[in-house]
Amino acid sequence: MAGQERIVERGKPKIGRQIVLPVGKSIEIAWKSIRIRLWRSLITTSGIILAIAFLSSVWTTGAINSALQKVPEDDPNYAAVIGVLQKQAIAQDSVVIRVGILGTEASTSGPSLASPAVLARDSLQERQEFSPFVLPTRPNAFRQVLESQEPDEKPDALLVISFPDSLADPQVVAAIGAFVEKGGTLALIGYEQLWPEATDTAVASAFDALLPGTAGAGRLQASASTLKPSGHAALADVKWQDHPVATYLKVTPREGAEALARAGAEGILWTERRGQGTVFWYPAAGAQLSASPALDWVLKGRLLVNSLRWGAREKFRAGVSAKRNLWLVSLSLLVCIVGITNAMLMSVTERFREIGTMKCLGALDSFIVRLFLIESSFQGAAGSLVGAVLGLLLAFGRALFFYRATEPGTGHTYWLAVHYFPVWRVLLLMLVGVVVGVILSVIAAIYPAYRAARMEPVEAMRAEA
Amino acid sequence: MAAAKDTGTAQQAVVRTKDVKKVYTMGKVKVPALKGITLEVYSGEYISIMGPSGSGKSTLFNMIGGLDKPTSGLVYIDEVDIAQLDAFELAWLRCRKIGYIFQTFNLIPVMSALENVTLPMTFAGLTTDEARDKGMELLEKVGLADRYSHKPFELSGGQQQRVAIARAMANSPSIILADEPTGNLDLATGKEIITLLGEMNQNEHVTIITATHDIKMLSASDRIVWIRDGRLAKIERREDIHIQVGTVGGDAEGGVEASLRGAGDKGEDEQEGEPTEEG
Repeated sequence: MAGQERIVERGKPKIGRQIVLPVGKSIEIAWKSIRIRLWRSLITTSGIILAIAFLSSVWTTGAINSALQKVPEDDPNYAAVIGVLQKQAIAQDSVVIRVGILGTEASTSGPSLASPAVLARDSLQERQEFSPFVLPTRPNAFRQVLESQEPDEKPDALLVISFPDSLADPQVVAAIGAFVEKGGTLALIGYEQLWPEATDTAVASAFDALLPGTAGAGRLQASASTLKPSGHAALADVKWQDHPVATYLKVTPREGAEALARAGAEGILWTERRGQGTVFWYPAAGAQLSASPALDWVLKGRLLVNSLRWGAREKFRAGVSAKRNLWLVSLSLLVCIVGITNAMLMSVTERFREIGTMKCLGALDSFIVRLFLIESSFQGAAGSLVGAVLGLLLAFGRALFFYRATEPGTGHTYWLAVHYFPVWRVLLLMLVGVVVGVILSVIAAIYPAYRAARMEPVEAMRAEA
Repeated sequence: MAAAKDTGTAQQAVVRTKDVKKVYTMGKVKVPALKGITLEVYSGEYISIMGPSGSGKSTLFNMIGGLDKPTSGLVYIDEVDIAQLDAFELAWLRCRKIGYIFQTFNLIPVMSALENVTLPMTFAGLTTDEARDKGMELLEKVGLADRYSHKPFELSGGQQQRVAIARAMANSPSIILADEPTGNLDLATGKEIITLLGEMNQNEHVTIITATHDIKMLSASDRIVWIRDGRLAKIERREDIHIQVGTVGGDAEGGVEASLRGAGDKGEDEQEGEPTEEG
């Protein structure tokens, strides 16, 4: 080496300008340390992992939920899916079905007994998803409540017991009809007034108006083909996955509810779609309904409850996710931002000394900032990816457990979360999650990196000590 | 020999400070760290800045290295006022003109010895291959060629400081600034590092400026700058110390101590303890 030459060269009182390294070189330098750093700063990365895992689990849960909510009615598993969603909604207390009850004025059998409407209300009150209330019997007041647009007043379902006198008013019947057409659920209990011997033609015509499928029949011809079960899995329509799940008894209404009970039947029911709504009819017998074991049987049994739930299935379908998920998603994003910002702040501040050293070695401020942005994006990507997978697995495990249905006949379990897993949607959400993680990591690193880069090297090295 | 070197380079002041003052503001209290220091360092010299803790020697050291800005006064490196430099020129200066060595080594923990040495070369724009060849050459000079792939935590303190010296030499700087280079090392290792710095000074003709209170440094230095209470207390040449060593008798440390006492007596602050006790 020519030492003399170099002395001359050093003697030149000239200062050059530091070159700006190409981005590729910055990535190369950043990459050297990243693998090691990822392991070393596991705590930093774990902040990102946890934040994105939370985000991803909420998103995956939401995606599975909405995939199940979109299962069409003609799907073979429809009844099972609705049953599972109902269970979820009831468990989460996220759906309340308002049941308006219209009953006979009062008990005729004696002052000591409550009216059937009150009995029905008290019975339904025991179920947490129902919010029952007795409707006024006066036609105008009744129509006012039924046609109300206030969500707190408007009932979702209407329970009419034993064809009360107010049904003689055609305006009331028309109001009920309109209510069902718009998606309401109507449950009718009782039939004795329709008996061929019955003379109350007003009520008979009301019945004909509400259940047009039976119009003109005058008498009931219930059979296996006309008796339909509710949507509950145990009473599911026809067959489920080719396995018969319910046994039908061929009955005539004349035999009455008591006869069915004796035969060990779980219920008797006539359903009919009308407009967007559904009409359920329980041809329960009993001249004195309030005292009748038949009413008791309908109310206490699963049948009415299941019917009302079934009628409100759209509410269950929508109810599981709606508000709760919005809240969770915003919360998870907030957790995500705070977690990642904190992680990046930590990771930069703990390396102040390194930054000072690099500046002493000739690093430009822009290089330091760029180095940290590259590192934080790598760290964000790796952390988010791990977090996204972790969150996905957690959410999937949870969904696997909650969204399963056991076939009553064979005991075979159907994993609905697997069956309806929205693969592409979840993959897309994972991608979005990773992108969110990377962007947040980079944004969160900008400020501390910029601050660190602008420090005098001495300050930076002192700050750490 | 030292005299010969001095005559050869005496005219070239590679570092020059002019009435440098530094005041630190801590809350509402203003603490003066440097009260006006004028100093010239000549090319090829080996200078030690000595002084007790809190005397301002580290502050002066940082000013010279362009690591911190003086409150008032001027610092010239190669006759260029560094206060006038923009960020790019300052980075260029730190990259090529000055090599830094720290008490705590300050190697980048995630990089291997070789990567640490080549980092300043990368900043200077060398290609990866050029940097690797030159880096290996430098590691060989400090005797660590066989440990090039080791990470700092796999090296002893002395080895880390050798890597740091190789890194400081990366872009053939004209000045090496060493802040307490032996402060974290044991006696024998410290001596090795001093010897290595001396070799660099002799063979590569690099100007070496150290801030230290390690008296072992004195015997290697051409000049010793004593800082006391933010002022220049005394500048001694090595020849003067040798004379004192002669008078006090025999061993180097005793002689040094004698010279420290002399410096202390000449300073304004009589009550302050002996600077050597600080180490």
